[in-house]
Amino acid sequence: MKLSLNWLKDYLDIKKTPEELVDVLNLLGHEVESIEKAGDDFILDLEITPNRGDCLSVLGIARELSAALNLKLKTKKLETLFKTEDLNKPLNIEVSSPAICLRFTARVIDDIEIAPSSLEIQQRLISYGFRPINNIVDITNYVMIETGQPLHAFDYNKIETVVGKKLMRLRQARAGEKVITLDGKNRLLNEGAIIIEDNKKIYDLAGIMGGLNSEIDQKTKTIILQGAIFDPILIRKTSKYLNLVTDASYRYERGVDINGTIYAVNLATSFILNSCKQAKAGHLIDKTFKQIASTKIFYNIADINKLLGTDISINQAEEFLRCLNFEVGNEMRENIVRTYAIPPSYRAYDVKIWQDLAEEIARIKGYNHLRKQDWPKQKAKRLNSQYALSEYIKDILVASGYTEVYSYSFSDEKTLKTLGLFSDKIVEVEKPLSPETRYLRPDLLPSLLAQIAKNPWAKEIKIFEIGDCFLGKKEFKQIVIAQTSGSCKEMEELVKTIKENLKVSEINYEVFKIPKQILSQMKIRKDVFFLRMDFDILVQQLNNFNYQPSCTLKKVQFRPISKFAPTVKDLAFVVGRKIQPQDIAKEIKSTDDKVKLVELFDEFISDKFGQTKKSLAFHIWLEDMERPLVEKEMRKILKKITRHLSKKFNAVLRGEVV
Amino acid sequence: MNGHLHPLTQFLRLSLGYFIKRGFEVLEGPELETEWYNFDALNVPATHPSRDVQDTFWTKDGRLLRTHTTATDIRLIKENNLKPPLRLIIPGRCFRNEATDQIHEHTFYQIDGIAIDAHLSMAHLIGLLEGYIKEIFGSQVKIRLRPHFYPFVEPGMDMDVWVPETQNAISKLTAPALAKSKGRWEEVIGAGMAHPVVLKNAGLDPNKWQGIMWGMGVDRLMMQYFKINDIRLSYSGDLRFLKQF
Repeated sequence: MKLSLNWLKDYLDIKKTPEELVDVLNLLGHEVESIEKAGDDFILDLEITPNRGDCLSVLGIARELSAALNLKLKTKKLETLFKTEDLNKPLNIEVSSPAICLRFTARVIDDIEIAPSSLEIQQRLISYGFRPINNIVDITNYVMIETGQPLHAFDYNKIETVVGKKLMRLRQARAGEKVITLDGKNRLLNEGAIIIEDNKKIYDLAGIMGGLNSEIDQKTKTIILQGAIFDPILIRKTSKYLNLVTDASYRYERGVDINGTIYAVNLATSFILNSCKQAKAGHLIDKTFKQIASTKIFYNIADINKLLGTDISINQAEEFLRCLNFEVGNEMRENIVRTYAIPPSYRAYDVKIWQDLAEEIARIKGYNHLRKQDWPKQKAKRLNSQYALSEYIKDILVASGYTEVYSYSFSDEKTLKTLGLFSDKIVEVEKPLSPETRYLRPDLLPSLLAQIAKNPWAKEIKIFEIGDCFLGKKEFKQIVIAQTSGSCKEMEELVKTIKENLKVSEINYEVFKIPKQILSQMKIRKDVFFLRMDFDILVQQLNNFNYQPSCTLKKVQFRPISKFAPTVKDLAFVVGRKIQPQDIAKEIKSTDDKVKLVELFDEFISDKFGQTKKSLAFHIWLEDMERPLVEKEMRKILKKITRHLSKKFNAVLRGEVV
Repeated sequence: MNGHLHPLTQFLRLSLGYFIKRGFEVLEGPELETEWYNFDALNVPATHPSRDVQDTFWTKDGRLLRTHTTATDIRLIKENNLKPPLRLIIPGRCFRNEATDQIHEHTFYQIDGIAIDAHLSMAHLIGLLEGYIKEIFGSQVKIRLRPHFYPFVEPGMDMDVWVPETQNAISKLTAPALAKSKGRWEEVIGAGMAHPVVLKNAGLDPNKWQGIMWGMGVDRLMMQYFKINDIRLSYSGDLRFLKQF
């Protein structure tokens, strides 16, 4: 919600700088997403959480700041600003059930004149994000932003007169009924939507958007200004059904102050009288059909302290609650003095239990002033076998040269069909944002092949994933391993290694080579050998498996990835046998920032290099962040690398492996 | 030659390690959940706008991909008939049906924690989580707490970490440099005291037990830790990324 600081100052004498105010609001739980200077004003963008409908207004935020900063709230005394008279323009308000409209406050205003609204009103509406329309519409919007109470103005003369009175019948729509809303759309209503009608037509989609047939237009002379309280759940249902969220429906869903209607209608009246010099205000109409009373919440300060871990005194707690306009007190109940708090009417929706009071007390005290309690370390419990097992297998695979990938849990129709995995048991997403997220993967095979396809430049790929698959009602884990070199036999060996390490007799697995025609459909130009294991069966066999994986992270200076393809060059060097490969790799990487990765792929000790020598071969991944690299540049980098290694490690280039 | 563990796996291990050393037990649950465990059990009724905060992947059979690992809290307690004192830490994959860009992903990891005991308070929660952040980012890290609304906790809060505008990871800065740094607060953990409705839904008496709950996005913390600039890299399968770790 956009909030103008100058507007806020109508209600509070704020001395703080805008930046300080941002902090105060954040620490109250009203997150400020941005702050922008606009002329002599600052516009804050606030994220108001869904429980705090009362804060969707200038007044609401002013109340919060008044509590936090101990400032007096300057609400306007409105009754004295204008006088009302008998216009002899009566309304007949009928409500089919008190549950749909809890309160209906309205006033007829006669002899109005449609014109643009004042510049200040227009400016403030724009700062909130509204387009100015005319004085009447603008004022209803303006007052909604200021007070949080949605208002609506009807053209009095467009409503049918029945037995001498304008008929406003509020009821719930029957399925199939329609209304054309102010935006010109013909809305097919859900059963239960709240509408206002006369005997001839539905003319309002109450609490969401007005009807076109009762709209204020250039010729409007008389209006009905309405500020009502509608049932939040019914508004929400209709808003969802029609996929129509308005500033009014947004507030109604979150709860509008049942005691705020009169202030809002009066405030709007005074603005309208100010804008239309001839206008005459009728008497206030105010009907309460159903009262929502705030809960009297009994609490025990000891419980609150036990929950918060604090030692706040009852006096302090009551003071914090009073700042927030809670009524506090105590009474005798069954011979015990019980303390209670009653939230103000605008908090009736979200403060209901003593734990809610605890939060209010903590908010005013300040969360950052709460006590902290250290957690002593204690002897670790053994890991549950499923997690321990997956981490253990990951460590075995990494030690065997495989790199772990995380891929999406989704797949698309084409891939599933190519791989023969498509069936009526595949779980389908209801409203996918793209074809790629339409199905949940029934197998990790498509995931791994997609990952291989993304690395066409890699010389050899050895990857694995442990992840969940979905088929029918079943969710199960697989371990899958893929490599682009070697053989099926090599993968069988890997299964044997895993079996030996885990000391299990049986593993449910499959090893196969992916057929060429499938690979070409997935744009993979390498052989792919594939190993798939059922994880859940392993867990069942090893339900007492214990393992503590290492928790130390690698020290990595991460280098961002270019959007241009890398080139992988291989170099082999003859160096002294005592030289550590990682030292050479580090040196190569530091030669040029176009070197993204250096991987040792061969370490070969042979007397043919000399009795104290060995050969080390590296994959060197080269790329530039801004453009594709050309061969000439790469040559230069490779030469530089050779020079550096020769100087530092006495390394001799054995050759480039092309 | 060794392969590489995914940076999220490494970061998960580091994070879980902290809690394991404080008596927490690692448990996991399904990614495809029921509406009840993901929302209703957590005091998020369909009739309240709090339901709209998360864009959900619904499946045609009426289930959903969990939008948070908090969904798994109540499932595990109920299915295994667990009784307090309880200390659970639940890592897992979560989903939100939204468009992806450099800072948004429809797939991400969370770690959820829940501990239930007779005397666990907000002070324990704050102490535990501050300890975690300090273990990851160093003891000089700047932390602040903000009230926040999560329907399954009361009181609720967010923990923010000060992220300086430098190329260095937070953990590499000295305290004075951090204090003077320009930067921004970034939310890292959402937390609070288990709502009585949630305790009831877990089959526990809210008058007898108090619970602390929290959830954190692992991807963003991991990115913060390694200074990674694009959340999608983790799921890209790009070996230029994976082989750096």
